[in-house]
Amino acid sequence: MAGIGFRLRALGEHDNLLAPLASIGHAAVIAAGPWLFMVTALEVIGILAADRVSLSVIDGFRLVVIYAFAISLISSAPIVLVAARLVGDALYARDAGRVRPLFLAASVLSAGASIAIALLCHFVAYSVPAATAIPAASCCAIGALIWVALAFCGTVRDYKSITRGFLCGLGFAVIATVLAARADSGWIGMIWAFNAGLLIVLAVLASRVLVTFPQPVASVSTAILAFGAGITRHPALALAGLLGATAIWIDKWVMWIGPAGIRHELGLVHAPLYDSAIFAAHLTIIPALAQFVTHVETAFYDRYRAYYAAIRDHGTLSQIEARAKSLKQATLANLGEITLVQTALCLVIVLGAPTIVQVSGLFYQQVGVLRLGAVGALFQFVFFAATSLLLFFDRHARFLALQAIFLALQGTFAIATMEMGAAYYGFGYLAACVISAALAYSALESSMENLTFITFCRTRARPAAPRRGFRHLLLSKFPITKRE
Amino acid sequence: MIGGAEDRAGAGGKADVCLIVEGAYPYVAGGVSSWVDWLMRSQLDLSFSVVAVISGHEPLQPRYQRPPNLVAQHDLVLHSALSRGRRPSRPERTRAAQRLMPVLSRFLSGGGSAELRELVGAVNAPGKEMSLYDLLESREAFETVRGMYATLMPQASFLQFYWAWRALCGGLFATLKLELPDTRIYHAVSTGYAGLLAARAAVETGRPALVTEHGIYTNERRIEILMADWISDTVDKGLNVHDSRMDLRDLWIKAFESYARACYEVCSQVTTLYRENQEVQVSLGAAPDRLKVIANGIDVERFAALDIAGQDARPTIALIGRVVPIKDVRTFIAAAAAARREMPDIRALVLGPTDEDPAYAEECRQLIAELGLEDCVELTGAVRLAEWLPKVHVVVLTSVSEAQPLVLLEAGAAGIPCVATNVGACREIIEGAGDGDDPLEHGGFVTDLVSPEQVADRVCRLLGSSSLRKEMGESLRRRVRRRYASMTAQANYAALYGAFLENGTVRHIGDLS
Repeated sequence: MAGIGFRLRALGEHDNLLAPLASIGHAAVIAAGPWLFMVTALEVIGILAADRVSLSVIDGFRLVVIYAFAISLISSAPIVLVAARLVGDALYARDAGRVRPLFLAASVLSAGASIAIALLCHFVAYSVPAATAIPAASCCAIGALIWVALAFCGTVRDYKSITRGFLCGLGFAVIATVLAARADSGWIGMIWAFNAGLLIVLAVLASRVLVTFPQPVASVSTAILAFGAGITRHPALALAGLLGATAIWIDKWVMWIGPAGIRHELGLVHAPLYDSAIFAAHLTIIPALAQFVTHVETAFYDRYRAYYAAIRDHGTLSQIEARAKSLKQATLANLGEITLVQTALCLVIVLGAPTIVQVSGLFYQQVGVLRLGAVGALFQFVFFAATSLLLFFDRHARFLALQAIFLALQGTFAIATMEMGAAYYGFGYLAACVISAALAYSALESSMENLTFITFCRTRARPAAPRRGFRHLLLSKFPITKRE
Repeated sequence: MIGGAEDRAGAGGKADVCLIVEGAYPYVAGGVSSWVDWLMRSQLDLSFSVVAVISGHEPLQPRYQRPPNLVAQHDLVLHSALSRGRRPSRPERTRAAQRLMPVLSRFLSGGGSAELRELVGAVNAPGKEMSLYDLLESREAFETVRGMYATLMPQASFLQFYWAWRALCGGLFATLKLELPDTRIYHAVSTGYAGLLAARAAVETGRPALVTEHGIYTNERRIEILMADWISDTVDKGLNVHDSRMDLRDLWIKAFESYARACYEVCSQVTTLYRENQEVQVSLGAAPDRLKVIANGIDVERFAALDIAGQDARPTIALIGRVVPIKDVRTFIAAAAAARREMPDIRALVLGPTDEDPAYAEECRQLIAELGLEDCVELTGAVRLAEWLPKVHVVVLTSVSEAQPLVLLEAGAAGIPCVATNVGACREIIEGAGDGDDPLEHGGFVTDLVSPEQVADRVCRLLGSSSLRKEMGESLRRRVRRRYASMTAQANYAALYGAFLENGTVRHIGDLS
């Protein structure tokens, strides 16, 4: 209770005005870390199990989990973004009783969507046998539930619980899965073992949410209907979530169904030549992400709050704009610094790619993809950081447009490079990330440059007018000269 | 229902007179609304249209039966949702905003009709019309806010300045962008946004505009603004009245004064219910030769036939009005307590509904109980006045604010002397205007506000002397007959409209200024 409960109180006391805006930003920022936790866990399992189990079994397991990531992310992203916004609105209205129903509804909807897509994918598209498809679908459902719980912890900025949950759960998952692998239970046993670990993650996160928001839920169906209404109020967010999550995966799918794709014996397709190198490349942005999350939580958020405090506490325009300027400078400078450090790291990876390939058990042909992937990931980080920050300023339409552009570029460039041949694999991803990052950065820069205008004229949750007075003043009240 | 009036309206539904009413007819019942209804029904040979100025938040249920000669009704919504629509190019918008900013600034901080003329030109220039969205929500609009803030009050809360600007300009631009109803005379029933629309119509069409004020809008607004605790003061002026730095309250007040000034300067005739209002009108730019008092009237004969309470009847005074704070019923109760010391069998009636402000009514009942007046003061609730007036010796009015209270006229028509506070037209009604056609002749007494002892003293003087009562009652009756008969008011308005309607579109604004 102490951690998140305290934060909730703090939110209530100081950040009330900001809740609708900030909570969604936090939710978006926080989503990146766990994804990397999971990729790391997969890598570790692969390495630890490799000496006792055939590569095909490990690949089978890994494929199911990767599919589960993709499916759960895509099916829950639209719901999660809307949920984060609605939680922000509820906290803004000082109505914490609305949060638990939102959590429940978002969980039900995400898990439902995730299972539906998983079953379609495994049974209909790839005819995966039930013995595998059922644990796989379970993995998707748990994954979706985790994304939801994660976002709810994120909106109240309980990063400790999140970290603890993932460390405990994934630690257990790694051990259990490796043990299952060594016990020759095949990929099916490994998936069940991994699911058990994910359940621990879910339990930790969900219990934090439930403990923080103890108010009971009167009716599940009402909660779901209310959430549906929330989605129709924020269609841009829901769509942006869907497009953004799809964009992260579209290049992989294109590769899977292209000439590089092969069908694993359990039925799913993948492109190991491309996937494993790109996933390894994704891991290289862990330091940048960690720095970014820390920055958002400290320097950025302090200045962000100071900016809104200046407005709320009746500051003059020059005071407000001074804070806006300081927010902009600190944010862009910090983004620059992180990118610079990451560029250095990236350089090391590009130069050391052959060695990395050797050490990590990749194939020599993957050196190119790894290099391009590492540079691409750097730009994907910039895109991710800039778009997440846009959410802090209620720039839903921009956010949506950028996600749509990212998706379109990822898709078309992936198809183009696939057509051009194996030598070009990875170029599409890099190009899509570079262009999207440039656009996102310039959108962020211009939004921060015009922050006061945006805050007053382009935000749904505008800084409020003083109490009902203005409405009151609009129309005259004449002395009554005669009774009716 | 209005078929006949459509015919009278002629081709295109053009009305003779367009009445512009703020926050009243037909959606809110009350004095001004009833007056508008009466005015239209009293001029059945003219056709009317009505523009109802509304804030956009209230429910819109007409409270009045439509008169047969009302041919069209329009709503001017001051605050509605804005859509972007088709927009001029960015440089064009910037140019328009640059043109607009200085004149808007001048207008809101103490301008008048000259600035209004420029504003209308900038906003409604043919072929270059600016949309409400561009005027209020665009980047250029925000630059205008910033510019005005920097010029007018860089020390003030920007949050408050922004919303003050948004509220003021939202109403201002909505008024400037309304499609003008086609009519021969524009007649505003107050200044404020109603007067602003009339002024704009006169400036744009060259047709005559009139304004009739019941209360003085700018005064009421000033009081409201000065009392509003939600406006924060950012300039500590201390006792220095010459400190010219502007604050948010000043912005609000100056803006409403500017609206009024533009209206007074442009209107061909500025009428009001009683003389006292005219000082304010002149101070805000109304030309003295265009001022006119047209008092409201009542159906004198209806009350003239009533009996007068006899000398043997229990001495009875009555406050006729709703039980609400503005009537200061508590002072009336306290006065009854004071009068009872001298006149133990006095009866004090409060004739009027108690349901409008139940908390206040309860407060009054408690006061009655505390003072032990249960057998003396009576809250009757809503009543038929004609049944009660014959029992009343003196009518009392303790209001802290009134315009031209009809109850004094009704009492006067029935020959009952009155004791009333010195607000609105009370003194003029009771003592006379003192001009040639209305000599000073007391129909009762005028007291200070919140003075129960004074009220009790005057009441006792009247109750104690039947001859004084008769003398003052008759003198009030004469004045009401002479000046406040509804036929007189009707004829005055017929003459007023007639002067502007003859020769089709008459006196051009240009000829007047």
